[in-house]
Amino acid sequence: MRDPPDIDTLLELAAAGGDAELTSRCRAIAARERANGMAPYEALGAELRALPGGGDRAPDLAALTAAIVDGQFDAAPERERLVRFLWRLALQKLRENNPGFERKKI
Amino acid sequence: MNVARVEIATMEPLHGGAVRRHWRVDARVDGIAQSFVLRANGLTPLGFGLELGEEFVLLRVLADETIPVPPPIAFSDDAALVGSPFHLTRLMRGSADPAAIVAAPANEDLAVALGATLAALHRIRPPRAALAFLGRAPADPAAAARARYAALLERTGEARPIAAWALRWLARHAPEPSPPVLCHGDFRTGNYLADAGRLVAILDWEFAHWGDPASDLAWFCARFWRFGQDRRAAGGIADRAVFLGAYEAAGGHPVDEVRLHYWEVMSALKWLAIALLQRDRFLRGGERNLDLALTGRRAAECEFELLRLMEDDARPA
Repeated sequence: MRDPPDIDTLLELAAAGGDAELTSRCRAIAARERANGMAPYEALGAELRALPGGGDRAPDLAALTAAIVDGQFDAAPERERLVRFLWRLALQKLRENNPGFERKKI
Repeated sequence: MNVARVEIATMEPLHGGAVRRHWRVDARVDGIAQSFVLRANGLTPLGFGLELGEEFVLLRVLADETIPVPPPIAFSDDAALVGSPFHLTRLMRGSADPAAIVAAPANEDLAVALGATLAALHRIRPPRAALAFLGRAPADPAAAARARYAALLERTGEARPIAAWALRWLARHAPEPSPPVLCHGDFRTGNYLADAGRLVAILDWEFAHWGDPASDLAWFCARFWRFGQDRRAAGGIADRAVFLGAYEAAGGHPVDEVRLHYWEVMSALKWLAIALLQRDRFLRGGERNLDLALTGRRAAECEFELLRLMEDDARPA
């Protein structure tokens, strides 16, 4: 569920040199992802499988997306379950990629 | 421009511009020293937006309308010089560096000038024969925008449930169609030149289109383009009310907060689509560029903003 490119690819690019700020961001993302491991995404996967269209055998974001497009979450209570899952997914990725974006008051 | 003799003295790459490449060109034109900006395609294409020749025509139309743009000088479809067609505009003073602009104290005068400029731009309505390359103006700009960003997201080939959910929200909350006007399409801090805190010119017109005027207002105020100055909702330079008030006072379309909020959600979806396409210039286009690659990781910010804007009270503790 993490967005590509994967962190090894990013670190390889960073190692080739370039902008110090970008390189530093890469390393910070890598540190957070390695500290988290896959456990948060396994938990998200379990939650996803419990949603309509979330995958019969394995978590399936494509099937979930198709179910959303199909209108299967337009009404309660599926709607609330979906939104809770989407928030957890978004926050997990944001906290690895740019935690400051969440923390700043707007 | 009719000249007897042009001698290029120096040609230096300029930083900035994620889609296209730029050079500063210092030359002697008929023996007189002059400086220009040469703008050419990026190494890999983004896959949408105006061609350079179209952008050049647009700049001429805008200059005639007294919209502040870099004065257009020439266009060439000869790829021999820099590997792509290019156009030349006169080099203007000032900087577009967003970090420098938002690092300065709040600048209401700049926000007022930008609001007034946008109002002037939005007075240009279709049809305009010279702008035929923009295509037929959509009867429903919001529906056209939804279709455009859905298609761009489809091109990434990824399942993105938050984007799908946002498209449902946008379809359910669609406003009454607004008569289309000429929109910049990327009107934000980073895409204008400022000198000593004053507006010099609006840059980067490749996403110009016929659309809902609220789309430009919302994009300018989107959190992504405040560059960390989140409390200054107008592009990181001033309060939103200053910018919107100046826009209305200069004859811009009356600001409808519900419509504006709608376009704020659309803005987050749009940036998500563009960020992923930028990333794909690395992933699929083969352009080895850390900045492009990392732009893909900004998808998380876009998805966070989409959820926050759609239903803030649904966010779990």
